[in-house]
Amino acid sequence: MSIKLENISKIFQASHKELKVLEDINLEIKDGDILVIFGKSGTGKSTLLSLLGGMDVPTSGKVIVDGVDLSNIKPDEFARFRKEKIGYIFQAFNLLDNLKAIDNITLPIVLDKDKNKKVDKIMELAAEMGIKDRLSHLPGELSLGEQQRVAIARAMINSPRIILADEPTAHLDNENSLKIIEIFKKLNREQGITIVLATDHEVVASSFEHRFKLGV
Amino acid sequence: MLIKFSIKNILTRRRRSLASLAGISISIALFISVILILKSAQEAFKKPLQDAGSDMIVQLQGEPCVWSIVKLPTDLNPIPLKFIDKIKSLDEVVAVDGALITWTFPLSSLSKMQKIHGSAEVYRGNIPAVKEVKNSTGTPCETGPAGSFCQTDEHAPVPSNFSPIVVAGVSSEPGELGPITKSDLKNIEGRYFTKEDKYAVIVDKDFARTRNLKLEDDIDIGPRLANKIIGIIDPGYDAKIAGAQVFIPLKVAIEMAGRGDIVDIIFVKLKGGVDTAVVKQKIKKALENDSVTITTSRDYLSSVAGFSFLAQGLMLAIFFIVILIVFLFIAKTAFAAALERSGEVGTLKAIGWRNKDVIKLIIMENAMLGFLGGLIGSVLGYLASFIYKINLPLALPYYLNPYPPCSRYLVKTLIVPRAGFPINIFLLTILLAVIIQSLSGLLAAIRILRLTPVDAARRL
Repeated sequence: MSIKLENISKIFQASHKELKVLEDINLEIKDGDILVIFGKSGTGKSTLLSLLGGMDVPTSGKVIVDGVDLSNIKPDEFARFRKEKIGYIFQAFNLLDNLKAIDNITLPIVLDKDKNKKVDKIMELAAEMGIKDRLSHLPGELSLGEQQRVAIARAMINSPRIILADEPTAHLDNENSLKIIEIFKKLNREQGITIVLATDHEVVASSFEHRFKLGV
Repeated sequence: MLIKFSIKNILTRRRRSLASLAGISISIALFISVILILKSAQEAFKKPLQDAGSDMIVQLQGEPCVWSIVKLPTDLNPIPLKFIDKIKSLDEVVAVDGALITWTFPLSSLSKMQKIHGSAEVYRGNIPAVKEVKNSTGTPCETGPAGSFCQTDEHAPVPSNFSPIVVAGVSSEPGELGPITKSDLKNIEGRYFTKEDKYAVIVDKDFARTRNLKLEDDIDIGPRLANKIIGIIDPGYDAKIAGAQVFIPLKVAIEMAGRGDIVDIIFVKLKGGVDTAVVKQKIKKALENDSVTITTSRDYLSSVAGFSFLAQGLMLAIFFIVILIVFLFIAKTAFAAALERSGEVGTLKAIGWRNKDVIKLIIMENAMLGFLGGLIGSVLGYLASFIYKINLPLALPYYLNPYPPCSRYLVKTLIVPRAGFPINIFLLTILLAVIIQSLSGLLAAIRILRLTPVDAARRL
């Protein structure tokens, strides 16, 4: 699944002042690519990632996914797009703290009538992420590395074609960071999933071939 | 699916759910208790009239009658019996009956008075006043054997057992109206009067107990020493209109009073839906007397326990303010609780939930909390009103239940509001709680959904 950004700008209004976060960004991510958006804090990495995933709308410019301009699709179609095509991993994981790990993983499909058919998939993902024995725990009872892996499993539950990960190693130690990087590489290698990561860690960025640098 | 998820969310977000439940429950409890207290007071006011099978009570109030062995209660004047037929002839009237309430001195106690004061000649009818007493304004008070009969003073000693008995003359056949109706007969030991009965009496159960009276005993009332007790009636818990200690056939009471064919209280049953104000005017016109007192339950609400119409208006205003505050509080709590979920909603949207799924979830959770809170609040409100109401006895107006103020016997002059369980009010309140809680949740959800998923998710 390819993503194309055309002349993307994003301006935030903050206390009656305009804050230009992204300006005239052009970028193309090919199907099956793995790309790192790299830059210092405040350069707009997370904003760019949210625009790629349809989580936010640009002030100007176009986001085109598989030839479809995201600004032209209706809210329900947008929701379906996010559910089926995108796996979004928040920097702070955004796990719901009242739900067990397994319930967090199944959150995207909890309203689906055929969710029971995905039991095998859940167990397969949990095994892949190394959290099979942690499924009945609440997020607060998991380590940060485990929480991150639950968040990745949640993003993977609908077998998306694109994974967007915002600072996926920000809260992790080196060992866990390497594990997470390896997971992403494996998903890309074995399943051909397009992966876009945002990070300010040079070490993480240097682990990947394609990088898009934001800021000076 | 959504219901299951909503229940899970409510159960796992215990602190938030309990805070919401507490808010709704307290508000609903306040609302229900105010409604129930007002409603039960209203019902309590109606009850004496309902017990007497009437919609209206007609009386003549005026100057106190002179003292005699058989005396009309203070302030009650006689109404000629023929007026009953006049009222009966009105189109709006279904049934009419009259009773004659008297304060009757036992002949035996008058004999003791005679011994003390020497000159009093006891016979059926008037007793000459022993002395005249003037009050502080110089106006002559009621005069009688002891001046003011319930206050002993140094000039007029009164024997300790000197007290009038409240005697009511009632129809010889039990009807639908009056101090004793057909439905009261299930509470009678012995029997009711027949047309042949003359010196037969029915006594109040409490009075009988106080005096150690039994069926077939003789009782000394008024000028006649031997009156056979044929029935003992349990008047129930509340004060009754024209409730008395002793009941006798109306014709005997008329004869004892010796003032012609009179009654002093008329019970009127009206057709359904008629305008009582119009009927009142017609009755006044029929009786050709403007000083006639016509009482409905609404009228004595204004004269009992300081309930003025102004107070009623004030209570109504307070009631509406309470409703407004309660529902604004519920709405605000629900709105704030839903707004706190911005982060959760943002996350749900980011992983593909549709706006309508989020709205359904919030409404469902709020509806469940509203239902539970409404239910708990209703029960708490009911208990609170129950505790409050049993401590809120309301006095029946004196003229409807004219007991001597110094009566030594048990007197029921109070109406105690009962805690009813009006299921329709509970259901309506629970429904209102569900609707308000859901609507507030909906408004908050709409506001959150205006944010982009990433903006909302940042608030987690």
